[in-house]
Amino acid sequence: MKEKDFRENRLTEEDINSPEFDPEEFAPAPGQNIAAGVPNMKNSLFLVILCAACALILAVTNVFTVFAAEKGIKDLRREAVLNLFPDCDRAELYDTVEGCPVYVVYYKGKLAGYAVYVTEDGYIGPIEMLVAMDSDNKVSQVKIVSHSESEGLGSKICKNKFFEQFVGMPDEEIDADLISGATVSSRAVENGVKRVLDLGLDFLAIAEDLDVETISAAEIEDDVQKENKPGSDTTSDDTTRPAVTTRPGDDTVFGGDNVGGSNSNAGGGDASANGVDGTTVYETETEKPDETSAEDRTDEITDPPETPAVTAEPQPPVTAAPPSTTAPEESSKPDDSTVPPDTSAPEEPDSSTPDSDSGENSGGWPGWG
Amino acid sequence: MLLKTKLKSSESLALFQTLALCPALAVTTTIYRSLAISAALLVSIVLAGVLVSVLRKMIPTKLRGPVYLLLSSFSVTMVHLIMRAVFPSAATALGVYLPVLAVSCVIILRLEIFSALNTPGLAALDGLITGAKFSAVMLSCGLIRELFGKGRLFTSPMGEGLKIFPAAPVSFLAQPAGALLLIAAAAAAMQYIQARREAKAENPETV
Repeated sequence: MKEKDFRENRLTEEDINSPEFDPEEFAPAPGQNIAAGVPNMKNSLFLVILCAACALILAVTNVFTVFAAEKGIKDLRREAVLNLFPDCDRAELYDTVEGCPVYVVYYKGKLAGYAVYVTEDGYIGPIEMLVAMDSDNKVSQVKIVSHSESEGLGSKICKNKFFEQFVGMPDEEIDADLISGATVSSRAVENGVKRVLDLGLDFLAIAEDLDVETISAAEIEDDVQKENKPGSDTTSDDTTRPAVTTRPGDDTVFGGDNVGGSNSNAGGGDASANGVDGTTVYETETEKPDETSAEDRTDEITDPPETPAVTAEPQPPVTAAPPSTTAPEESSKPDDSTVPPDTSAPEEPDSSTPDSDSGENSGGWPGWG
Repeated sequence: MLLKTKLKSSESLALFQTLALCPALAVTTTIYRSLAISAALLVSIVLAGVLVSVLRKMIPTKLRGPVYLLLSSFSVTMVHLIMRAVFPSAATALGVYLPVLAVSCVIILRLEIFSALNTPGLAALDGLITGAKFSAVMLSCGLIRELFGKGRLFTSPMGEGLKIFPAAPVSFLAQPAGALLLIAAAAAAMQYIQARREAKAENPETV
């Protein structure tokens, strides 16, 4: 009878009249509709015990995994912060101000800037974003870490064009152009940036608090270029690589409205893809400038692979300098063989990363690797 | 009565299986996320199936609904907790859609049909097969959506992936509407195949 019951929720006359029918199992009250039934103590007890057991097991699992999970999230965040400061080598959690984690970024042990995580309510769900501030307490970059806005409408907030208007705040007017079709979403981003500015964080105060030296974006720029001059003798890996890997991308990535995907030069066509992906994390708006750094990037978290800090002041020299300075270095670098065939060779490491990281299925999906 | 039974048994089955894909559709914009969600679904289906199969003698008939719901959400939460710790980037990429899998009625449906009647080993095998089928659907969905909706492949939190097309050829595929259309096409194809198979089974000579 049980088997029949799986196919059919309600008892029929036939069931009740069958010899297998056990009245006690259903315990209908006299005159009551049998299908409705009455709860009996045994069933409730069973359910209670099962629920308790499940809750207990989950609680134990949670206890064992929660630290690893938090550490994982922190690592991801640190990495994301570091990506906003291309030349810097270390990011640390500084403090949590009004519920917003504040990260500080170092360049060779000197404080180079800070970044704040804020979460604002968007149209559909929370928008988690990262606001990078430079040594002048100005917004140097804004990045959406995760969001769940509608694809194609709200997700436009991931475009660089939208972010660029926040750069240089608060010197400039805080009155961003909102995106039509994504009013709520873009206003949420605007509010997030405003909130960060309202936190009243001060770069020098943080430096004093941590008791570290400071360095401005312009000085980092100088330093990096200085290191690159004798770049052929690879004295320190940390500093020469960013110079080679990020410079070529700089001018193309932040040259302006590359959102339309019109830049056809190096970098494996990185420009057009920004912001298409809805809830994806860490991959949307800031293009990884070029695939030449792909091998390095997989090795080392601290490698700053992508876009430059768009500081308000030193931008003109930044964008103007790279073509002249980088060309010699690229050719003198030992691994320059990977540079020219942008489209084919350097992509392989990238293509393998999704598989290798998502462990569980890495073996099961070789076909497209 | 006959009509009622028929409505309940076969037609709704196909419908519910399609419905169960819906949370997954939101995620399958890239192969990376498809892989992550497939893995999570596979593991939770197997786990829930085995659990139900182990408890099948104990579960009171009237409590099937709540108990199956409880067990499937238990296994999904379990997978979520573990995934968060072991693969944080994948768990972050899936976001809210990972716990939402619990709703995925496919689990309940499968439990109803198979695990409750069979031994744990068979239930695990059945879960594996079901999970593999869903993974195939989701991965192809992710492949098509990423390739034609974005013009690239293997995008992931770690890298930009391969660039296949200069611009997204069919950009609406990256949006939810594209996913629904895709899955509608796939469901139609599957139903056609199933109908043909059934017809063949009924009278093998004519077909």
